[in-house]
Amino acid sequence: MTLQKFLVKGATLEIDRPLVDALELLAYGKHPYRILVTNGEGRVVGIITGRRALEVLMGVRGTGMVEKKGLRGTLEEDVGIFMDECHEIFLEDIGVEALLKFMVENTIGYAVIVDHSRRLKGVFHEVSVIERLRGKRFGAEVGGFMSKSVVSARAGTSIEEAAQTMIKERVRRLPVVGSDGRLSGIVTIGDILRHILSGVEAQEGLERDLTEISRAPVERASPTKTVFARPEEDLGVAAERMLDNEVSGMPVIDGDRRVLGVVSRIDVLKAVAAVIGIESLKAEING
Amino acid sequence: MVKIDDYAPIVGEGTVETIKKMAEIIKGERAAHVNATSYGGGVAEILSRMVPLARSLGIDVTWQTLKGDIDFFKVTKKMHNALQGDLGTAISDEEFALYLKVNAENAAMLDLDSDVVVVHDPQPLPLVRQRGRGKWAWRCHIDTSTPNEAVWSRLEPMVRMYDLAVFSMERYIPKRLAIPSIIDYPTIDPLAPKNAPMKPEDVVRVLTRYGVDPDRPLIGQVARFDPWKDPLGAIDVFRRVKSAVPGVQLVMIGSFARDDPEGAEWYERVVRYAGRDKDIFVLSNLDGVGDLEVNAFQRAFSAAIQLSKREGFGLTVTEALWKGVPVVAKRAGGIPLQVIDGTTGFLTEGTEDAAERVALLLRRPWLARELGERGRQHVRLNFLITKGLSNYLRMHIELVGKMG
Repeated sequence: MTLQKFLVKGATLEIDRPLVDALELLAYGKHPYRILVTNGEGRVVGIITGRRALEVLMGVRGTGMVEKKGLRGTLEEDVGIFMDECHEIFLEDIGVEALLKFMVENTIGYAVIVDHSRRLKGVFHEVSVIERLRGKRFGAEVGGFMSKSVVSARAGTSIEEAAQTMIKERVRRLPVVGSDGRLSGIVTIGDILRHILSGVEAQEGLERDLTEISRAPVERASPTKTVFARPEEDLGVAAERMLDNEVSGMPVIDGDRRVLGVVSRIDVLKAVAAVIGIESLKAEING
Repeated sequence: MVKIDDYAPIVGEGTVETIKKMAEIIKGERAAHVNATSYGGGVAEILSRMVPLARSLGIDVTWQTLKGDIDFFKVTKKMHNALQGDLGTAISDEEFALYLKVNAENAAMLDLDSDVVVVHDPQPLPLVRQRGRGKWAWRCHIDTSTPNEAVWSRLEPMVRMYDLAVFSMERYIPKRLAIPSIIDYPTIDPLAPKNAPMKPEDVVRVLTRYGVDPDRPLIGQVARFDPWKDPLGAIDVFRRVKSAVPGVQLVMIGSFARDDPEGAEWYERVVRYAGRDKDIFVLSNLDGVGDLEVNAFQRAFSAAIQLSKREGFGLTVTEALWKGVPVVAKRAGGIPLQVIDGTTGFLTEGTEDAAERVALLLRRPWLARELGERGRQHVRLNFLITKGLSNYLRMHIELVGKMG
């Protein structure tokens, strides 16, 4: 089994591009949560995530810079200053099994594959693996593998507050819950970035716009369709739903729409590995 | 004098150029690093390499350490254990007062007038109470994922006084931390005396100096003498391995850090546990084992073991892998990021399992070689000092808001 057939291109940006370009990719790109930063020769030098972009927008990170240059000025700075080091880099001769083990052990949903000169060859992504599990059932229920510690937002919470919660709690998605305790929606970092970016019309006055935009209730940023899972569903069913709806995770709810937990793609991958073993997982995805 | 260009053959020109560009932005800026001790432990090691390298790039960096007596370090060691999850530890009001007092005295003596002050670990944490100008970052190197809440709640108000917190791993970040935080995986310096290439004859010279037979297989654990590192477990593993591979020898290397009063006590326990077995060598800095000797021993290992129950990150694993030595280890700290089971070493659960894996590597040198080479590449791509340095430069730029 070659690694090649699992690799996806991944979003990339050159190191001297402005941060606002990263924001646009994160908001509207195909694989929007993380962008690989490369130098002029295509070598991977870092990574920028949606959370990182949100932190800058919300004035949580890069505060020294926002104080001096304002938000607009900060967004014009090189993405290289805001990226993080990428620590999941592997040579292209690595085996699929090794990558699966690495991802499952560390709850990391991707690995960056390079050649000996660190030139990007592609990204080994959890989606490529889960895609090959379509149609499979594992005899294991979502409820046994979901994360039960759920951070959620009350309906009507401001976008600003939801964003700050996601930053502080280090989560990528927040189930939105009504006053009756029932799930009414979900919002992700990507949704908020998209909402902010589409809301900022004028080139100038980003700061003022941002304040107005982020004062709006979180439902404004949340997608119209809420994708969720039931605890009794098979892991395979949940995985397919996430793929079909292009979401990286979803709330798990009971019959009264009360949130019991959250399940993500990497949770499913870990669970499948635990249930059938890495060897079998490798065999399954190899077809 | 170490220069950034020396790293280009290892990490590539591109990485070095990126670092130079960032350094140019903050050239002439002042930065201060403060930690507990200038010798012993991973933090001192990282700083001893990172600070001169940053200085060579034109940044005015100082590295300062705390002055404190044994009572102070006993308290901070208890805090360290508590933050790592030791629920049995309690800090009395008197102990906490001493902790604050010693830090206040130090704050008056240290030169903290910098654009950025980076305070490492809990020992100097309270220095922030006397903060002046500049931005302050707290770099926590220990696993604080499940801290002793009683102790954490006393420290947390001081953590809030920082502008930024830096942790070694995502899951170490305490929930609901009130200040922004970033991840910075620890790294090793491939050009430090501990990791630089060595001539085989120099390796043999070190081995024979300590009575280790260079013609028989050698395994070892490099770690402080500390219950978290399970040195007695390492000896158990060795005993099982020895029954399968009779000629094998074990080296246990630890160092006595000034801020670690428990070290001597645990060293004694390890020596006692090793008993009269002439194939077990328990060595420390007191035997003259310094960086060069550790380097030599690690190069001579057929396999390294790391049975730690808790690790800040596990840089001794990184060091072994960098030398092309496969590692058999437990899942602690950053070890699973480095040891990929069956690829760069083996992840194990118990003594028997670990012993089987070590014996396998001893019986199949070709397998050990293969895993070792993969381990070296994994470290080259992910855990070398140039990444750590880039992180510090980027953090500095961002904190002070300097632009290119």
